[in-house]
Amino acid sequence: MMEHGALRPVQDGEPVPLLTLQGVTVYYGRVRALQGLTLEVLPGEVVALLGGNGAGKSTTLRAVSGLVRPASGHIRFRGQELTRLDPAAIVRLGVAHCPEGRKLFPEMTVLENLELGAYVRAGRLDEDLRQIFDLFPVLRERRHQLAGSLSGGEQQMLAIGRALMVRPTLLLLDEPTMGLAPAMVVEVARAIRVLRARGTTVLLVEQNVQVALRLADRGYVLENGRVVVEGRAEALARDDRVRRAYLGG
Amino acid sequence: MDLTTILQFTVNGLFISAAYALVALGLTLIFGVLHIADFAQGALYMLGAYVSFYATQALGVSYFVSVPMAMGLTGALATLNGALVYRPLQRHGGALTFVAALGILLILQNVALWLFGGDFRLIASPFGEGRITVGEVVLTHHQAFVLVVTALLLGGVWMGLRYTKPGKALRALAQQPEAARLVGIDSARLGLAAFALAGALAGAAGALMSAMRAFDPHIGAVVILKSFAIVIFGGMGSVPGAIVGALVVGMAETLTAAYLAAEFADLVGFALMIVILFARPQGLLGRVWA
Ligand SMILES: Nc1ncnc2c1ncn2[C@@H]1O[C@H](COP(=O)(O)OP(=O)(O)OP(=O)(O)O)[C@@H](O)[C@H]1O
Ligand SMILES: [Mg+2]
Repeated sequence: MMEHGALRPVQDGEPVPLLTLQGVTVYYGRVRALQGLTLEVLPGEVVALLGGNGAGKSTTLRAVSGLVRPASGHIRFRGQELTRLDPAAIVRLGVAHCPEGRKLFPEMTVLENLELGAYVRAGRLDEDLRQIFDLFPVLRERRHQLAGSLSGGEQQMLAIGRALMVRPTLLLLDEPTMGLAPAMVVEVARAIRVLRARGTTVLLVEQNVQVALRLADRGYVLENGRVVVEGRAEALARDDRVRRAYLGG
Repeated sequence: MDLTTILQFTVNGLFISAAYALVALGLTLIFGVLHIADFAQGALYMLGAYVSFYATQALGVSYFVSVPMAMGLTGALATLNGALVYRPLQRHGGALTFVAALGILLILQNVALWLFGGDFRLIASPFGEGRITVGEVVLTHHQAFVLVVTALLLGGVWMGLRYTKPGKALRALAQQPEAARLVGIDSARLGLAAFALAGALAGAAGALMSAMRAFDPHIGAVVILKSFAIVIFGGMGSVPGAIVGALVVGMAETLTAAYLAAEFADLVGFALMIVILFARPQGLLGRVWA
């Protein structure tokens, strides 16, 4: 299911980016959350977005999925401009956003949450559900339980599962390990590796730098709504500025 | 209190509860999905009664046809309110939509006064004076009809919310609006669907009740204040809360009228609302979303 539509990097010459953000500026009222942010994600990559609290990581994802509209700049997905589309149109293109804090439908069952993930898609869901239940077996056991009654880790799996119901080409993951016990962090990291192996492109926001850089190919460090450092994950892991960004520098 | 009296109160109380339940269900849906306290629904109740009254009286339409006619018209009016008044105002915060709702209620009330006059009216029930008597408990045919139709409407809405795709989308929107947008739910369109549904329910309530109880253009204001108290009592945005609240208030009103004084009956709903606000601010069946 996941390889559906995912582009592979072109072997000769420059790979065509799947997603590009170019000089994106976003305001919340008078607060400028992003100031001319530029980044790109290549097909099949896992890209980490790092940075301290309030750096603009979530806002970047929200701009891509259409929850906030940039005041200026361009966001292109497979060459198509996203900045004027609404979230429904963007999710139809195959961009799924698993938001910060999970944002499940608490009074609905696991199954209903997953079905709603496929809201814009017609057709049978059995195969998608099977794949998600194989990825997170605990969700299969709990499928008739209300989402609000799940443990934190289970809720995170469900949030990821709901996003996967889109059959995303690009998955936006916002702090999937936030507040989870170490065993659950391992579980979520394993799932991201599986998705990556299936060819899903992932833009990953993580506060847990170690986890993020172990999963990612490349990363960007944000500070005050702009990119201050970018590079391969291995290089970033050794970079002093990365640590500084996390100390609120 | 003997069994006959208890049963008779139950019947009378249920009948009052039916009207409240229909209006309160619409209010709680609109509140849950859009966070608007749509007091204009009271005017739609009143207009539903007038549509049925004139359709049967002046146009000779069957009462059974006049009820869906009323629902269609009030549903359409509610949708127009939603699209033309509330949606443009909602961007500027909740207080404005509340003032607008009161404005629409008053405007429609005065238009009705101007068009229909201030006389009390009563829709002629097709059931006439027919009644079912079980022992000494009396249930008029019209009451029975209202109870059955109300049960069907409430059951239909409940099933729709539970099992249909738009119903699930409405619940999703009420529970977690941001995630609802992320999965591609069109909140503007579903919001209008909530208005249409609520308006139709209010119109149905007006047409159903007003063959038993005389009405004038001011009926809407009375009904909406009580229904709103019921929604607060049951829990703003809670569907079971609206229905349970309507039952509790309908019964309590009947008992108060019988054992205290009829003048106090209208206060019961508000008293219950105030008590619950102290004891359980989210309402009887309301939730505090994390
Ligand atoms: N809804 C909002 N209204 C006003 N300002 C906001 C809003 N959301 C975010 N901001 C501000 O925008 C800036 C960027 O916020 P954002 O949530 O993107 O940061 P973040 O990097 O995701 O932080 P965190 O690690 O805490 O999640 C911050 O200064 C924040 O205070
Ligand atoms: Mg964030």
